[in-house]
Amino acid sequence: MIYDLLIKIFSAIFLMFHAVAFFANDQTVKIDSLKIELQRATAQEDKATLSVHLAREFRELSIDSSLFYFQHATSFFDTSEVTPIRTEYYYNLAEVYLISGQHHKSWEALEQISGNEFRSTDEISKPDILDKQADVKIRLGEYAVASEILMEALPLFESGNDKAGLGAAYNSLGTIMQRTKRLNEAIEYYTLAHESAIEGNDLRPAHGYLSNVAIVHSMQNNNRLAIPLFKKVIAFAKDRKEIRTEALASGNLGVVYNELNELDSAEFYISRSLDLFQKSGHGRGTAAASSQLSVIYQARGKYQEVIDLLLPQFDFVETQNFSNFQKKIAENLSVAYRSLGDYPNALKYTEILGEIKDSTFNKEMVQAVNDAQIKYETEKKEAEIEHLNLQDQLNAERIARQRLALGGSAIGIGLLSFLLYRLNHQKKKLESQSRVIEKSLEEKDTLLREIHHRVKNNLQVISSLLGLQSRSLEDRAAIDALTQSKARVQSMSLIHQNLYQKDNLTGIKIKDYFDKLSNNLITTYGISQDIKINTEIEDMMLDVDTVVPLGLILNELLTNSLKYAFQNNRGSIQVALARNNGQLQLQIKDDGVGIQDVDKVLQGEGYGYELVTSLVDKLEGSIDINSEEGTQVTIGFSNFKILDN
Amino acid sequence: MKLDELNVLIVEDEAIIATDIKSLLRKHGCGIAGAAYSGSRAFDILASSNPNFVILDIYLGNGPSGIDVAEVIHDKYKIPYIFLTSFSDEETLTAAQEHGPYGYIVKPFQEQTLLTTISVAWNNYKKSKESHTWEFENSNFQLSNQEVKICRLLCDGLSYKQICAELHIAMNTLKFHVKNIYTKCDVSGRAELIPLFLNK
Repeated sequence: MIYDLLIKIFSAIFLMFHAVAFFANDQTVKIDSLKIELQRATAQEDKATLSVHLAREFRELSIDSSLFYFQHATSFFDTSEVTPIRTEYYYNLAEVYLISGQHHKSWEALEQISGNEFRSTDEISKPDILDKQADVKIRLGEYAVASEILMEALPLFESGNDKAGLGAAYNSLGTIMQRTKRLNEAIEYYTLAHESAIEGNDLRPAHGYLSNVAIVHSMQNNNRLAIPLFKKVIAFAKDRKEIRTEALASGNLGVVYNELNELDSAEFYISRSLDLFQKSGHGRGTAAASSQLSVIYQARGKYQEVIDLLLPQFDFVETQNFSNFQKKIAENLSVAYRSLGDYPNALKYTEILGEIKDSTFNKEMVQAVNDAQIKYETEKKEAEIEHLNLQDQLNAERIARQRLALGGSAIGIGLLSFLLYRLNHQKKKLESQSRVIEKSLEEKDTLLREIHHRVKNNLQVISSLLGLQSRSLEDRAAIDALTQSKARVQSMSLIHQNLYQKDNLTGIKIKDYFDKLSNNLITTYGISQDIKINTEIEDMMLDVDTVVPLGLILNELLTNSLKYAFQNNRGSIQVALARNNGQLQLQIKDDGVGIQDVDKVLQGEGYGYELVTSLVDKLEGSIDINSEEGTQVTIGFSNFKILDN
Repeated sequence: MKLDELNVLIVEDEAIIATDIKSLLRKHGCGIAGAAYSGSRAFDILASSNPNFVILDIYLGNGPSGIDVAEVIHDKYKIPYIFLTSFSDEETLTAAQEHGPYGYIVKPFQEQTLLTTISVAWNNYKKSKESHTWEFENSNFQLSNQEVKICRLLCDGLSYKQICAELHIAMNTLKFHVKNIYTKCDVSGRAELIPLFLNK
């Protein structure tokens, strides 16, 4: 069981090593020669350029030095002047920030050259900048934005016939698809990336992209599909004598065979991988491959082989301070000794393991953070860290495309992720949870706004339908009828106009609402200015379920007064609404001609009272009409809800 | 109401509402350049049918929004337009002001309100096209020097972006001043400023 876990973990690390993590030995030589050139240079422009190049070379070795040289460069050129060196400066600066995990600074740097205010260089043109911007967004987990940016970049790469750039952009799209779990599309994009890169003769990344296709196949448990692809990469690497590419691809292939439980093949490829790493002097690769191989040996019961393999590794790893691997190796040695029945040695390594854990754990981590200067950022959406380092690999692919090698970074990430995973797992889970909550609150907000917008739109549609029909009629009475209907729809619509405005989600200020309603009616029926409306409405915020029936009642009663009460187009209407003994009391009074047959009206015949009586019923109220001097309608109801503020 | 000079483009994604507006305008003698159900279609009609007035919804589904179209209308075609929309939240309202609309109506609207707004907008536009001078000094609104400068540019119809460039101020600063100006003059949009400061 522990082997399963170990295998899984090592698989994770191993796949991560797929990263084109090539530590160029000739790096230090290049740095020295650049330094000399810089000293010798006299022209400002040359000094600036050389400084930037130095900064670039330092980025896998020491971020501090890198940043120092960037700063140094600014004393030789004007950052506000649009020149090629400015482009080079900001572009490379952005890259360094990206590597060191300072994503926002990276974005800021790119902003300086992202508009149209930049001069392109031989290597850096607009789509390259877009590409890098997309990179930042991918790191930040903003996949939609990154996609958009990449979509912008694609046609630019195409028109510039930059196949290599196209490949890199497709690759990034593949990453996005992968992260958002659209694995089939990820494969499509990675394949496109591979094809473009081949066309552009950008062969090393091309095979990196091919490996990515293979990895996604593996993620989909289509390990059989992954195998020929890895083999192709291995063949390519053999051909070009790219030892490290071959080592990585072999290792990955071995892991895949492991998943398929074909231990012979697994052992073959991983030991080949180990051989190659050792040959190329790739320390960490060697350590990783040994661990992986030991796991397989373990599974096959080859305990002595484990010990023979790991003992020298253990010493080496100790000198290199790879405490993470130290632990793994110690663990494995301990288990192997135990299986051979060599309990003293088993105990020895268990104790060592304990020591490593205690003493060096924290110190190592801080050290590792300072040394590698790379922060590992979790997916904003998921806290599954096992499968995620492909993004780093892909980013590294792209940098390699520009012929720059990212040395220990990928490996550093591997180590770190392990350490950080242990320590920060909880914290990140919490953080991501709170982000998920935040996001769903935002979504809810947006949804609610959408709904209100649709409701308002639909009410307008109904109003429009009525309007269209009434315009096609000639009969006065018919037109009137439709106009009245339209007005009723309007009074309901007004409610929605005020809903969901900033603070009040379900409440309406009844005073404001009534003002709007009366204005609307006056406009609809073309009421003369000599008819005055006075209001005495208590300043309340009523629940929407109260306002809807109340609004319709007001609509009917007010319409009646406005249309029928005044013979000479002059008069006044009083409207009052107040709380009264636990009830809400509405009173509409006009000094017009009065109603002839009050009883008939109360029975719901005429003047829209059928509607009114049923609404009053719903509000659990009673209605009283006094028609002695003008018309006075009083309604008291108890089914209402006031919202406190 | 003299609406027969108009050749209106209606941009509204709900077909029924667009038809309603068309029929309402035609009834009042107004010319119709066309109805567009999307931002892209709006661009087509702008280019091909010579409208001189636009009624513009803000939300237009996928693709360019009403505000995007507004920017083009303001910068490229320089014809007057009014917004017709169901969005009444502050954010949208503020964004809508940026490219100088001549009016703003909230859905659901009343026929009379729509007609009046169009008429007033058209008149304001015509006035602003005539040779005119602005008079800010004698007004009672107590505008500061900066506010007067901004007011002038608003009346001249510049978009917020253009005003920022002209006066070298930041967008937020501008919005802050604009808000104050509108409050002091008791208006809700720049189109209403025009009649206030016109020197006849």
